[in-house]
Amino acid sequence: MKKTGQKKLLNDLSNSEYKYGFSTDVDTDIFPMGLDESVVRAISAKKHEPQWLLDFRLKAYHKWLTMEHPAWAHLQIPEIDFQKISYYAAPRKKQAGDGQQIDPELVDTFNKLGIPLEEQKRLSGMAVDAVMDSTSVKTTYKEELSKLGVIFCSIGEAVAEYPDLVQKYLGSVVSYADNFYAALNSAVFSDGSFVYIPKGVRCPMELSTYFRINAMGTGQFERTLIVADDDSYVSYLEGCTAPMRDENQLHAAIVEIVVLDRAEVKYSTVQNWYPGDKDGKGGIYNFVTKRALCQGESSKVFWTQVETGSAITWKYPGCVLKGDNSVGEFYSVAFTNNYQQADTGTKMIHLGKNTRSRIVSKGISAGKSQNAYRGLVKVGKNADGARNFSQCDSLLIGKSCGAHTFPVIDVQNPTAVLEHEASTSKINEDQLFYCNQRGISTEDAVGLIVGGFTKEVLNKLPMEFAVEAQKLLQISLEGSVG
Amino acid sequence: MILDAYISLFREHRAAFNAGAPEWLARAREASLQALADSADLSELEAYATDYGMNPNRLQPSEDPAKVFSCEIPGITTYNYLVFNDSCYAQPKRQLPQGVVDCPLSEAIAKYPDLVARYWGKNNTCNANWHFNQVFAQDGLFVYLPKNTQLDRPIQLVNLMYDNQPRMAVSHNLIIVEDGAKAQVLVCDHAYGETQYLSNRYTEVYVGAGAQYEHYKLESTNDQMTNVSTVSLELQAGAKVLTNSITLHGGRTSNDVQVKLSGEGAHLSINGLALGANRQCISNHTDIWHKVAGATSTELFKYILDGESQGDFYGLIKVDPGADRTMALQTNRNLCLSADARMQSRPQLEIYADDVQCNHGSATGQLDEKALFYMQSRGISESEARFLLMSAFAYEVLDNIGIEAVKDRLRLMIERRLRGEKYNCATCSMCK
Repeated sequence: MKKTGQKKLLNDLSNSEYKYGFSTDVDTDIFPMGLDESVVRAISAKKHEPQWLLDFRLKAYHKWLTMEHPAWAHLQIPEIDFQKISYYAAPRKKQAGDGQQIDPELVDTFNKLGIPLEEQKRLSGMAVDAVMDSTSVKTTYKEELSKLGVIFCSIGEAVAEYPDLVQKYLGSVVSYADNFYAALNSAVFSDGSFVYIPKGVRCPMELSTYFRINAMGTGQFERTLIVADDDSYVSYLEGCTAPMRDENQLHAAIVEIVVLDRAEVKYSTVQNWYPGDKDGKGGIYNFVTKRALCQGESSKVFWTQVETGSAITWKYPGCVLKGDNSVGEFYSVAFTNNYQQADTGTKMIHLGKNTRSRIVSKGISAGKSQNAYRGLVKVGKNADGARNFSQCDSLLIGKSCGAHTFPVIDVQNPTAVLEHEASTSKINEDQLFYCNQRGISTEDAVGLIVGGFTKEVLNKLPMEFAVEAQKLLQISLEGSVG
Repeated sequence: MILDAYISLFREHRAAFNAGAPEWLARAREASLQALADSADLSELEAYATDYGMNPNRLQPSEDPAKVFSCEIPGITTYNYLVFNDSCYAQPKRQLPQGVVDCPLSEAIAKYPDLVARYWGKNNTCNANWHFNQVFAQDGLFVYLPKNTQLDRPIQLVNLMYDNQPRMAVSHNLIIVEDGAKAQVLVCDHAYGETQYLSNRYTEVYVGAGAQYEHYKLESTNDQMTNVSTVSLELQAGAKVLTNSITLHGGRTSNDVQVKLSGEGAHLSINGLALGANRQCISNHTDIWHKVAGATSTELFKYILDGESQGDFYGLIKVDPGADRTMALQTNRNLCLSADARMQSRPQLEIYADDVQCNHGSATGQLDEKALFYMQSRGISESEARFLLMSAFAYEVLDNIGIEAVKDRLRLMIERRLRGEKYNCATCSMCK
């Protein structure tokens, strides 16, 4: 009985694997492959950027040339030829005269993805910035937001319209020299979102960016910058998908968040880049640097991430808790199946007094995948009364997968209290048996147990995302039982 | 680079170093020498950066080693061996059960070449410390317990550094406990004098099926001491091993314990306690490798750091594919007492099998304020309350020590240490 059930599921799976795997036939303005100084200059020229930004890019490019590809992660990364990637691709507008009109193909694409891009969908109540390949396609609800003084636009627009703000904060959290991929991104980043919440404003709706890689042979290097001024609040969502292709595509993004006095930022990600097929062919390399700087006192940052996609994930959203009494929290579910590899976790750097952080990480590995949690909790000399709690649980489904935990705890202050707990085990046989004897099939039982396992994290997601994430996990789980 | 100096020292004195060494050892030394010369990872060799003196020509000490140091833990009776700098001396009169061999390693290489060759380096760590040791180690302790033998008292090995100029000592111990045998080994590290010392001590232990082995390592040296110690253990089916590394006083201490659980039902209990003060650096590095199904391990390491001391804990648990029913528990707890103390903890899990239960917990903090308050409200002074909590914290690691006399002595030493009194090792002649 059980066997046939499983077989059926496996058959279903080959069809239901990745439902965002289509590609859109839009006319694309694409740079030839390769990277040198002229490409960096060309990107900058294409976007009519001011001199300071070009200088920033060039500085980053020259730094990048001196850097080596990082090898410390628990990942098998095939050699990446950075000269075989195109560093700029933009959907070309069909009617040149009709400035604001978006290509209907694009609208279709985003409709397929379930992104409320068109104005008539305003009832869904979420402001969206959609980024296809290298450029931001359309930002919704701009007018409503601008009444409150909230700036939500593509970073390209922000550079043109609010150069002072961008210049002040760009690179202030993630330096261009931070790491190999941060330097690469700083040199060639093309678009992304910019958010500024003025003093005392609670952003009335969720802001969301949807990233889509469409063109072949390109990399996506987007950059997101969020600045929350004193006493403000914003909840920001990020989603991403890509077409199914045999080749590996590179996605190297930077997210910077600056949080000033008493402000609060929630950043949620559902990462569903194409993970490659069941034999490990294709898929996105997702090498991302995300960091929040809690600069002001009593500022707060919450990272929530659901990682189900990408062939390789290399990502450590971090918080620098500089302001006194600031709070950083990190909630993560990382699911890997087939030949996926994930090395993900967080950094909590306590610098201010009475800073608090909390880490809840749930890793699920199935198939032949490798899933690692890597984290750093550091308490500086002056961080009196710092407090951290970390919990990392891993669930193993199947004989050939791996689950790893690599935390680093570094304490330089005697008043700090840090706790770290980690556990790794397979799905409890007793729980499965209990479900079975109540008439729940093994597949459903595993789904239930995984649901329970990840609930603590999924609960932190905004409603719509939580539902999507749950579905995503269910799909990813299919066929991994046995 | 100072490493080159050591390499050329070996080349210059090759004949002296290889005197009495069988061909396989001379070949292994050349291979290790090459590995050191090629070593790209120089950070591993950081400890060797100072220029120390070595003793390639095996010059005898000017004083009688037996008179320089004698362990006076009250009530302890052991088979006593002394590694004086880098040469091993055995207690002259001793009666061991039939078939048990204990002698200086240099003697064992000559007398039991096959036995030594069969085990030597079988489970080596292949890192810079191993290669350095293999090239330069001339002596150490050799113990062989045949099947089902049992010793009536522990073996005590005292590693003593004693010189009036900067000195490096490299020694190698080989301990073979065959199936069903039972042994306890107590290793005490001491240093005497005001000069800079570096020791590289490598201990290989092979524990046969169903055998029981306990390994205690106590360090009470001085600020000028850099102590690099590696214990590599391999456990066969049903073997039970307990290790405990206690670091009380030293300069830079690096304890590396590498364990392979190679037989079903093997059990490992690995423990450590470190009390850091002044500018002490204490690092404990443990590597537990579950290679087969059904083996278990428990790990407990605790640190109390004061002054400007630094603690480092790295604990890796690796579970191979197919090593089902593995149970591995790892705990690391640390107390930081002063503003300048620093603790780094890296508990790592690397798991490639699904039917396992692996947990690790790491906590760093200070004494529980509520417990302190409670005790004070019952009329216990704050300093006494602090002392009680700290000693309770430390004693947990001592609980499983199987030699009562050592346990009692350690309690006393830790108590003195936590009260800020003089805490050097007991009443030995050095501290008098």
